[in-house]
Amino acid sequence: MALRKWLVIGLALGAVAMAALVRGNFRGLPPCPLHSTTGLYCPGCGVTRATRALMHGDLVTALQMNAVAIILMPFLAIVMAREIAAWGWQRPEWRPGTGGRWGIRLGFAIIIYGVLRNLPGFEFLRPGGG
Amino acid sequence: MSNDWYYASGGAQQGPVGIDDLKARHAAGQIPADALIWREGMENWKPLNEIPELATSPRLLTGGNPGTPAPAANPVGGQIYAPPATNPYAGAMGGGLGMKPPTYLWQSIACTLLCCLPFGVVGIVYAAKVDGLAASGNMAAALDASNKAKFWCWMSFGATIVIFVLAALGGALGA
Repeated sequence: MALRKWLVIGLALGAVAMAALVRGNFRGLPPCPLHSTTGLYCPGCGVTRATRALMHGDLVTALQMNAVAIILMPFLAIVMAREIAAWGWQRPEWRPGTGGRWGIRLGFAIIIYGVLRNLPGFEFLRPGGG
Repeated sequence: MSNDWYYASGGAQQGPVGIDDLKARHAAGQIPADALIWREGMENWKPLNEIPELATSPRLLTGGNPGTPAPAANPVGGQIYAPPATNPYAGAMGGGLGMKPPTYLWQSIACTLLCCLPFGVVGIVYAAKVDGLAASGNMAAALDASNKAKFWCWMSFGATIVIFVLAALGGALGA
């Protein structure tokens, strides 16, 4: 049963096909329910706008929207690709390391980033620089 | 989704894996019919072809010969494969086989940044605990934290998918 493998391949091809379909007339994703109901900025706020800017080659706008996500994006893409491939092909040896103490620090740094974005004096961390 | 099967391969304990994984690896020839298998609740390691849940495998139906003497329950003398304890990880730790539950830290971070709901944060908090608990030998608690991190990742991912689908439906109806 190589079902998982084909699920991963199918979803990846589906994502590529969808990207090709919406290319050029992307109207954005639905607004974040957390932000529209509470007004809070979560650690992921601005990621859609940042990705869109990046796809238009506008790195400056991308960094203004969510610098942490843009900087971490290549790293997260690699570790998640390895996790998904390990799951799909059932090869646990492909999984990335846990990152140990630094991985945990990174996790909590992202939570702190999410808190700071909502505090006065840290408006520059918000999407678009506040 | 019970990933609670263990198998012996190349002198080391492997797992936990789901029963479908186990069957798939057996069908692919990675696990022979006489490989030792254990899951929580079993008294001792047993060869794969003696486990009723796995006996549906096609190789066993064709090659299963009840007259063949079963391999000894533990051919290596009970040393390499530590006897299963009440805690599935206790044997692994005692044997120095280095089996730790996955932390789901990267998945939690990805969910926190990509899914606009705070569930990923809960995942990070649990993911951060896994390795420390495993290192202190409290494998049951480490496994529990691992499962909770996994649960909150799926909650985060699932909720985001639901929001997208609802928004797409709303857009389709509105247009």
